[in-house]
Amino acid sequence: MFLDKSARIVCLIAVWAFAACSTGENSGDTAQDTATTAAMDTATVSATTTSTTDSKVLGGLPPTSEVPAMLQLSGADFNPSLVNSAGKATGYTTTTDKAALNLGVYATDIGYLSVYDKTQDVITYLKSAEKLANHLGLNNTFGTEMQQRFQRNLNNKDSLVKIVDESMNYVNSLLKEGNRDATAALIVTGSFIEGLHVSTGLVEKYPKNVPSDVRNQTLTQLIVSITRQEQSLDDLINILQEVKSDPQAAAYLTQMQDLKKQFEALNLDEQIRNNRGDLMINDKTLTGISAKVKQIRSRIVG
Amino acid sequence: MNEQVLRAIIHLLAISVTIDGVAQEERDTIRKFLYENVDDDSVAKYLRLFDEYVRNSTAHPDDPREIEYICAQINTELEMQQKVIILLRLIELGLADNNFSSAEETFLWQVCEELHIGKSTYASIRHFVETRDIYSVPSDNILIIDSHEPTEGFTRNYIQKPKIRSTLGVLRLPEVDMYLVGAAYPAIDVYLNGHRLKSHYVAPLTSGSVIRASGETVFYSDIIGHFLKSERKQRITFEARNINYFFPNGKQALHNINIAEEAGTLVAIMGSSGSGKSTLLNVLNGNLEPQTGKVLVNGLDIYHQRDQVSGVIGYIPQANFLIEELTVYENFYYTAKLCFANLSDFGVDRLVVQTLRSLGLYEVKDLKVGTPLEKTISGGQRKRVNIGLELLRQPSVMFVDEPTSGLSSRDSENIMDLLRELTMMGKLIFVVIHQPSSDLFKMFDKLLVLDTGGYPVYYGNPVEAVVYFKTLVNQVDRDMSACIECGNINPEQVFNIIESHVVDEYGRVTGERRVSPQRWYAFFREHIKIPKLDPAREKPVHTLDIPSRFSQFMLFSSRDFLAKLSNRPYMVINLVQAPLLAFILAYIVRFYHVDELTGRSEYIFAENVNIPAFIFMSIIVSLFMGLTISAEEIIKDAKTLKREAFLNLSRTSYLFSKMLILFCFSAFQSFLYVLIGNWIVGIQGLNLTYWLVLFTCSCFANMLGLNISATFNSVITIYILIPVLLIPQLILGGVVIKFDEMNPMMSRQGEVPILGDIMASRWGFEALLVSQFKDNAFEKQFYNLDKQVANADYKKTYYLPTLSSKLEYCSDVEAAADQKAYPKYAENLLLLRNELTKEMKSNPALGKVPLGNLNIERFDRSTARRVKEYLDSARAWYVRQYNLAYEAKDQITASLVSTEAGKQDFLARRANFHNDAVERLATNSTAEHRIIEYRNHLMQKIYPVYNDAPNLGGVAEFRTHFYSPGKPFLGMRVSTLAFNVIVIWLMSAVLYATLYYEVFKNTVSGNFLRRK
Repeated sequence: MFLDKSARIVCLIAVWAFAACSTGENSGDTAQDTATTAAMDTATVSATTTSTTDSKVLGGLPPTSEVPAMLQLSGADFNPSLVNSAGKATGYTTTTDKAALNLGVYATDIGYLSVYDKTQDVITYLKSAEKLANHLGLNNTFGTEMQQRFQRNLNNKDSLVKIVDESMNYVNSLLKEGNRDATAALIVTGSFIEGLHVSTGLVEKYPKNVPSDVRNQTLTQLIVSITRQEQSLDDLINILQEVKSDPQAAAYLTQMQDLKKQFEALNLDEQIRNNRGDLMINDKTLTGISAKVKQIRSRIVG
Repeated sequence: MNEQVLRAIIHLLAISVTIDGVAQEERDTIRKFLYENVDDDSVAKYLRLFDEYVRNSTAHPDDPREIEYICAQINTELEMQQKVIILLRLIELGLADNNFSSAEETFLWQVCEELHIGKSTYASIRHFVETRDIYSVPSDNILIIDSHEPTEGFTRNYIQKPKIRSTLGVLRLPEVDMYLVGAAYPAIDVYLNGHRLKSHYVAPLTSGSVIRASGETVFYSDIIGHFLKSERKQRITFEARNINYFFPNGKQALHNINIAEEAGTLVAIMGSSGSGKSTLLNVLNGNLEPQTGKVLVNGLDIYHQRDQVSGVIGYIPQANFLIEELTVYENFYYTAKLCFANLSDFGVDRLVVQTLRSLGLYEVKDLKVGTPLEKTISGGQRKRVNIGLELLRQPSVMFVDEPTSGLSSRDSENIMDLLRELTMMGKLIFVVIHQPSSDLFKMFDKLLVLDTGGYPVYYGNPVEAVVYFKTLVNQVDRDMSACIECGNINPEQVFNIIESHVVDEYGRVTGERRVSPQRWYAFFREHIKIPKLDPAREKPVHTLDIPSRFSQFMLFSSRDFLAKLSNRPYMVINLVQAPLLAFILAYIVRFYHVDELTGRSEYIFAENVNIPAFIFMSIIVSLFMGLTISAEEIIKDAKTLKREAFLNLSRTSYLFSKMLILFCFSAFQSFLYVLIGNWIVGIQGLNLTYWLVLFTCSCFANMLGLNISATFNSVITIYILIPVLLIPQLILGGVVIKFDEMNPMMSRQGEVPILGDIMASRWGFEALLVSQFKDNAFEKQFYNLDKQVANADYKKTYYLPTLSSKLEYCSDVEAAADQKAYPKYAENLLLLRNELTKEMKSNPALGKVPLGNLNIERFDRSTARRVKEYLDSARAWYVRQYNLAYEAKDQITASLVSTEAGKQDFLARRANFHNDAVERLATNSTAEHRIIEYRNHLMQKIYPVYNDAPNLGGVAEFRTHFYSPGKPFLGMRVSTLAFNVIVIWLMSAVLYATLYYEVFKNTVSGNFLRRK
């Protein structure tokens, strides 16, 4: 599985690079070149990042920042309307499930903001995350210490990302220690859905006035990153299975299973096998997934 | 006089006159009457009125109606004495034309009846006015003043004044307690109160009047003395034997003073400045106990048998000790009520009015006494009020300190006459007087002269004092005591001789005295004998009837309250202070975020970070307000207290009345403060709690203020002390400097330092903060569950892991070779033993551990294993408890937010009732150390407000950590709010005891010598 993932990335990038090289004599050449180089660089970096952080999986799932990293890699611009509003945090401090789900959502948002260097916003979102973590009784996790650590590393994006991941892992381990597996699962659920939401959102809202080849490249990347998340969905479903005695977990398990069906409808593996992945995947095929994700997410963030 | 009444009188006069026609003499009498009673300009007007009445009068003596009507009018306005004057004028009018018809007589009888004047009074007056020869009227109520010696067998009332050239007669009217005086024809050189007394003109003789004729002076008191001699009832004797008094610094103030006097004597005490007059007065009146000698009243020692002579002695100090905010009447009223419990309100009123009249203060009775700066009544009137307050209760022996200082000669005469009148009625009065005029000097019966250093140098008849001293210095005219021509005695002569200085060779006066005080004293001992006195045996009676302590309490309270009410600035400041401070404080503290993103700015109570500071400042403000309204209380009353010391009133009642008034103010101030402050800042639903705590703190400050007020004599000192007292409350209240972060020498971990425990602010703040956190309308429903969650969390996250790591350390050490190299080994084992003991006791269900093995000798691997098992199972248990409690809370929340409206309501309630800053303080969530090790125990630092300290019985158990939710006491658990409030009230009670027993005052004055 590991090899498959990285192999896929490398393949797709290679394909894209090849395509870019062959079609690339436009005015946006320089931009593309730099974009490519940058993409190459970050690709290597993200490859290494993935390799080192993969050992600390979040209950089997990739670290929180992975999806945002991928999205940034794809070349898409930052879209501020996709993240959940930080001001709603107080409204989530009611029941445990609400708090847990949205803690996951904010974690992903923080990752997304971090990779795009939106440091001031990150600080705000950390405070929201703190509120929710405190409500869950996890007082040490997103508190002053973590925030101070964050402040010290504002210039180093990699460190920032690492700090967020570590915090989420810590949260997870605390909950496991305290036999609060259902809560941990809900956090992961929230984080996952938000990742998917941002991804599909980017695809939907991708500006139309960008030159079509750039557009196509980016969109392809995005779509691929979305499809890649199906694996994570499987893991998530397993996790939720284990805690389905909790009514909220059970409810979301059903939702995830419905989402899985949407993925299956794409018939991705078959298409790749038929070597028609790049042609058959466009933004229109994602409608089903997008809709379902929207529905689940709106249930989470209210 | 009222215009209507005046017209009525004139009408009456007109009727009287018309009975047998108007004569010129009659008109003259009318005019004289008018001159007496109205201003000069109006005399002509009223005369015309009179003429008009005369013309229009249709009254017939047999027709009573008009007379009735007029008399009725007069009755409403005038007092008895004034009505008698009217009768007198009518009689005079009737006799003016030397023709007294029966019609006139009938008319006068009718008037008498309508005016309720007795027939005998009428008869007396008529005879007195009619007679041409006063000697021919046989009556004990008549006193004659003439120049010749009384003949043998002449037993009637008579005063001889050799130089007088007219015969004077005085008529006493006992039924109406009045005196009339008239001069026989021809009246030569007779002046009554400065006005010429004409022949056959009868004038009323009032208290304080002075008759001067041809150089002779007759005082009112001289006259009534004759009438009252036989009425003296009680026998009082006063003795001072061998009095020696020393000042605290050792200097001798009085040398061997001896006094022996009886009732009915007016004694003057004179001396130069520094001769010890005031000291002597205070020794004699019971204020200063002499080191040697005795002061006896009727044989009873006034210092050692105080209760038997209480109420007998009165003292009128030189300074005026009056309650300035009350009117003259009110001052008298309260003093009367405090002296005579047996009198009804009506009786008190009558007594007060009587006294006011006799002092000439009736006209100003409703004026505020005021201060010398804010004058409402004159200086002479103030002096008279001062004297009058003491006279109310008619003490048998009185000491008066310089009653005439600062008064005009007329006022001085008035006062001295009053005092003399009192001696006539049987009192014994000692007067310290300075530079009396000749007339006043002659009024005294006895004179005691002191010289510098407290040496008595003369004791005897005042007039002969001059002779005595002149003889001693061999002066030429030593046989002359008074001036031949004018009769004046010059008391200054006495002092000139005593203090005459040596003249040097240039003829200048040096500072050296010719004759020293000691030498005068030696002369005194040689020449002057103290008269022997047969002391009275009866117990001295006094008219005092002190009301019960409760009545005193009510009287003090109502008097104090009245005085405060009429002090407008005081009321305004004290009532406005609280809401103003509340408004300022709350307004400044009302913090909210202005959200730049959304532009939304609304006040959310939960997010106001200043609430703990607001609570603390409210407590300090309460303490401050409590101090300021009480700091001046006792010192303001110092003068009144001194005066009333002679009444032996109850100090308890006085203090309680003060407390009542102050507590009422505090209650009201706290109420206003809470109302406005809490409203602005948004604290909802806990108003009663806040009021209770702030009121309690204010009352404590009131008691503190009363203590300092009673301790110091200077107002400035007191006000400087206020910040000095408030600063420790600020610092040691537990907020500005946290108790954990103070000098560790001051306290032990897990306890509030003792210095903090004596501060009211600490108790008050803890009570309010804990209540605000756990009793607010939102948290109330969750508190118990939150508590379980917090305690389980502490155990599973901090406590047990700490114990586990200690265990690991010990296990490692145990396995190692040289255990002694690990110093902490023994300590950790001890800690494990201590904590596991506690844990097993509070949670027996978790199992057991061999505690006896937890020491260096017996600790081994199997013990370690068993302990580890125990810790693991304990941890699992607490995890379960945590989750159970957490889920239970979650369920409640879920049911509350099940609907959208419910959710909004839930969020709104949390925003309005709960406060994050308060929560942070109460749960100590921002603390660095959540658990600490202290003396081989583990102490929980996090979640103090959920931490019930162990309930082990005992009294000092209540000394727990700060912000604990309840205090263990004698095996019970008391809520923090109740306990803390009670503690503050107990501190107030202690302050009451220190106030009653004057602890601070005695400490302060014992520490340095005070010079009088």
